[in-house]
Amino acid sequence: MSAPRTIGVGDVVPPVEIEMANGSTVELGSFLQQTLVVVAIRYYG
Amino acid sequence: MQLHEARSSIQALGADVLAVGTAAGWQAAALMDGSGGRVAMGFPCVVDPDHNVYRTFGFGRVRWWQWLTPALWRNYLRAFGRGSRQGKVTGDVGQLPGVVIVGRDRRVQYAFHARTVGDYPPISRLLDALQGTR
Repeated sequence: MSAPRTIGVGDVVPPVEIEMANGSTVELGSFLQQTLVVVAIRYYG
Repeated sequence: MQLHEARSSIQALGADVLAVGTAAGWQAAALMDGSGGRVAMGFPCVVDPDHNVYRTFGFGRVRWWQWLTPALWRNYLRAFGRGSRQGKVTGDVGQLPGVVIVGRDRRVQYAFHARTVGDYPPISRLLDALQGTR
């Protein structure tokens, strides 16, 4: 379910598969009960 | 850390935060619950091992010469000054960060593509963007 192309402002986000910390798979849209600030960061241990 | 501090302001504008990283699930869990002496972020932290989010929003990659640029090390020093400390590195170290604001209608309302490691927009810019979408 990975997205085929890069999208920008005004575009509709296609289904994007991500993983919860426990390893279960969810779709990004499951977090969109409200406007979402999606921050791609680097996790350090 | 700054997002954690700004979360209430973000929520006051009808939004919330979702952090995405390429690293291990245990690191995302540690960030959320604040284990290992960290500050608990409070917002969801998820993992993107296949880079789906990064590809979708077009977040770039670190070019080899960027590791030599002052801007990258300035960002490291700035994070260090805020109390961030380098831990075990996992995931994709060559992946650049980025920020997008997505509305409930799944439409992208704001996008920021980092130009180097540690390159994030000021929180004030995110809050302005959120206010502009209300």
